[in-house]
Amino acid sequence: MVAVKVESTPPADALACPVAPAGFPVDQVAELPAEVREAAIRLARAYVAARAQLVRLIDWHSPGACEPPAS
Amino acid sequence: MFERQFLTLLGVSVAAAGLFAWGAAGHHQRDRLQTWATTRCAAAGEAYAPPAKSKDKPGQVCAGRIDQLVKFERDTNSQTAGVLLDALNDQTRKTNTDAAKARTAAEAAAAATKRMEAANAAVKDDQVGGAWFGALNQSAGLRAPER
Repeated sequence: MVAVKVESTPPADALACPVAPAGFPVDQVAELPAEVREAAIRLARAYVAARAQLVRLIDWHSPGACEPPAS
Repeated sequence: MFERQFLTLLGVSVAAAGLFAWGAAGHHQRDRLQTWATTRCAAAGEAYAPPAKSKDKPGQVCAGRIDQLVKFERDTNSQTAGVLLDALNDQTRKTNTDAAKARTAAEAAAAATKRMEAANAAVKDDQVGGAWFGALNQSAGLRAPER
C-alpha cells in the first residue's frame, strides 16, 4: 500500500479574503421605526456570521491568509 | 571359500543398494528444492538459472531481486506510515486552530449583541444616532466610514 497526500485546493479567487465595506456613519441621526431597526440588526448579524464562516473556511485551506476582521 | 566370496559380494551389494537408495533420495530432495527455487524466482520476476555465458551463480540475480522487493515493501510501509501520521497531525492542528477562531468569533458576536440590545433599548421616539449606528456597525463587524 502506498499512501500519497492529495491536496485539494480551491481556486485562488475562492480563497481571496472578503473585504469589509465601510459601515454606517456614526455622526448622523435618523428616524428608524422598530421594524426597520430589527431588519437592519438581522442583516448585520447575518453578514458577520457569513463573513466569519468564510474566513474560517479560507483559513482552513491557507492558514494565516486572513486576519480576523477587526471589530 | 566360495561361501565367503558370496557373502562378501552380498555385503557389497547391500551397501551399494543402500548408497544408491540414499543417493536417489538426495536427488529427489534436490529436485524438489530446485523446483521450489525456480517457481519462487519466477514469482519474483527473475529466472533461477542464470543466462548462458553469464558468470552469475544460479539464484544470485533472483536473490538480489527478492532482497530488493523486501526492501521496497519495508520502505513503502514506513513512508506510508509517515504520510498518514503527517496527515493526522495536520488535521488535528487545523481543527484546533479553527475551534479557536470559531470561539473568538462567537465571543465577538455575543459582545456585539449585548451592545446592540442596550443601544436599541435606549432609542426614544425612533430617533437613532451615533450610539445606535456604532452598535450596528459592531454587530456587522464593520468600521464607520472615515470622514
